[in-house]
Amino acid sequence: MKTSFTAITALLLVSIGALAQKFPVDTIYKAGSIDNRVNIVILGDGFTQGELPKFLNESKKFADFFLSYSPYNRYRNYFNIFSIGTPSKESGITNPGTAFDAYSDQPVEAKDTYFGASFGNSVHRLVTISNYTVLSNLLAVNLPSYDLVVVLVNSPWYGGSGGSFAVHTLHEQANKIGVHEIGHTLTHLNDEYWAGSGYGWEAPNMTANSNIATIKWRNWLNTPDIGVFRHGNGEASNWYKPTATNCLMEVLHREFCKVCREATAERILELVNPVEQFSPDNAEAVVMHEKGMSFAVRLLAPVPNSLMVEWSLGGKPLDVKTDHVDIPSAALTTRITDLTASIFDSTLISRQDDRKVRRTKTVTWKLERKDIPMNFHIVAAKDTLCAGESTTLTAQGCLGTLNWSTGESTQVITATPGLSTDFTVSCYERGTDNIHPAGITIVVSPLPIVSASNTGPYFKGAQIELKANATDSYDWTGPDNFKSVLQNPVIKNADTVNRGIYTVTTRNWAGCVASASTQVIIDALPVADNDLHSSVQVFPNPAKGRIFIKVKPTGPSNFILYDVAGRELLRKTFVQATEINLHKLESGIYVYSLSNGKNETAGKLLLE
Amino acid sequence: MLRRSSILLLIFCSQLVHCRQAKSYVRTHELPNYDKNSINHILFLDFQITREKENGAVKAELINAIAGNGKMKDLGSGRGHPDQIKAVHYFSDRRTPVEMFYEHPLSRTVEVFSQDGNLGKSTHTARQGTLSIRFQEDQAREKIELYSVTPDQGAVKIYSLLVKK
Repeated sequence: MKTSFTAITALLLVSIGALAQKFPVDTIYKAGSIDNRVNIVILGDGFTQGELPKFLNESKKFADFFLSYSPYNRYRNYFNIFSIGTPSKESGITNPGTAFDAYSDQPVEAKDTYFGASFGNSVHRLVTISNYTVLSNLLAVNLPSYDLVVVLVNSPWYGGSGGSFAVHTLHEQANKIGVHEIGHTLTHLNDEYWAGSGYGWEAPNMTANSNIATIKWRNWLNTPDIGVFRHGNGEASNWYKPTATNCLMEVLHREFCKVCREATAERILELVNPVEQFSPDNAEAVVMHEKGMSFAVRLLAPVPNSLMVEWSLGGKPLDVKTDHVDIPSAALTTRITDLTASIFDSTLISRQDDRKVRRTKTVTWKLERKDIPMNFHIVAAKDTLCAGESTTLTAQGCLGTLNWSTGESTQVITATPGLSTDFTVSCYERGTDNIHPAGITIVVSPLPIVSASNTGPYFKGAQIELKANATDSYDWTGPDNFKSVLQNPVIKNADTVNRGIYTVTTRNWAGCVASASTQVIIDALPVADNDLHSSVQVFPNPAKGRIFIKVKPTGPSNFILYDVAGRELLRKTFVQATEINLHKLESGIYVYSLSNGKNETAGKLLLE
Repeated sequence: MLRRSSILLLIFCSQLVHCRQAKSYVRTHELPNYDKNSINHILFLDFQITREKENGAVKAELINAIAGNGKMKDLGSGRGHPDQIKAVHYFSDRRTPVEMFYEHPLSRTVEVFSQDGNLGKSTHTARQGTLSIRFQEDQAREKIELYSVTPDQGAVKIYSLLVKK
């Protein structure tokens, strides 16, 4: 091993974190469980012990600003916001005063603070912290499950920075820095200003694809201010953004653009489940009371509420849109019936194509009526298949574990039998020794056998003959909207638009479909010119090894010989007469074209 | 206590001169603030990343490790950086190693916000910086390797940390 391990150490590090201090974690907004919310923690630097109330007040101001910003304002109860006050030895932060843009009236001073925040050495308004280890220890001990970190530094002068977390001063313009940075860390938005070489990558609001039919924000292109804007020149010209100086991700005095709002809402809904709780529990089958039962979901509603609830019983939709439903026992006609609540946030902030499929949350209860005998059976999505097709098999009515003949144990399996097959499943009833069997036969029909061919290649003007070999129906399609139901259709007066792939589809008695294709080659050879044709002699034909050509018109003539696939084999230019040696060619049919001036002709040549 | 430990670590680090790659281990159950009564733990590691001279080898040293209780969401990283630290997590249960990318502490890019609302980026190079990583404890995690990834030198392994129970 070239790289040697010169030291192997055991770093127990017991004492390193021992001084990590426990501080009060102030709850600014607690909307719910930490596991089902986006958790923001606000930290402070440059606040002395006596200034911690000021820090708490500033934290609340930032939290209020953030939660009033669109689209966070709609989902404000999807966030928890905490603050942790850490006293610094001195008030304020370091100002080295060395940068070209240092504020002339800001005192130059060095401060001993908790996270070591400082204005920049070379860019003054660049305010950063330096005590990262202190930060790690603080978060590990006090709020390890945080999602986002914002550090407020105790200075009225404008400044801040972004990175893995946001740092900014108390200047009234600076809180937008925190919102901009959370756009990066939470939603993975890219900057809509060109940040320089190497900073182009695919993001919700940046792409290299400028095709308006497929660009990721295509569903917003019909709205004001949204378009396909090139980032700039050079490397930037390869990247596109949805707005031009009209988004917080480009300039701080703008709101998020619609594309960034959509991405933000989608991200929040990816992290937070709008279904907070449901009742009753669904870990076991719910034994129905004789008078029926109520079922409910407790939802985390955005403001305004865009959650849609749909209920279904036994797969059939119920006419209920509320967060609870009453199911009378009489509505159940089988021993086990599934009740499902589907919850979807229909917010107009998002226009993503697959949003409903992707974001619909479901809660399913198995409702049991003890007074109905168990009807354990298999339901097949399709019980008759054509070879190569698949179907799903669902074991219904089992209160216990399953064992399929395929070895699987899930309620739904996918089967792709090559031949007709019997599938069985055993239900081991929970809490008893009862085993309930069920079975189903999936019938598999063979595909029809079909082939396709043609008699080509052809010249322009020739008759195309398509041939199918099958025993059932014929359904031909091809170039130039060709359609036919004949077994062997013909196309007269062939032209180049007729060349291409022709496909015949056939369907057998079982409804199974198969298809075959043939490629028709139309050589671009001209229609024979009668005037030239009558004044050309190509002989002997059939030929043996050589041919002679005589042309009456004066001037150069061009002779080209092709094989039947249309490949050019030889070409010769001559005046009025020539002899061509064909000894190297194999016996068979060949095609030639001959042109003189604007006149052309063609013909077949048989070589023996 | 903290100062004494730091001094010990500095002494240890001084022994690693001429070493391109270091190796150590942590016992998660012995980390500070590790609560054995908690089901879920989040581990915080801080590495000091250094480069002694221009174009010299990048070195890494574990300088801080601590645990917290709870679960964390994987927010991933949407940012790309020309210079990166790649952390590769290896597991004992045949899982594919997981790669995580972080901004290189020796070449940090921060956004600069002008008061007129315009934004820009500022890159800061340094000879020394801190890499802070956080991850959910996983009983099958057995090793973490750190790579310094730069456009001119590619990925160079700089640290290997064994994670013991």
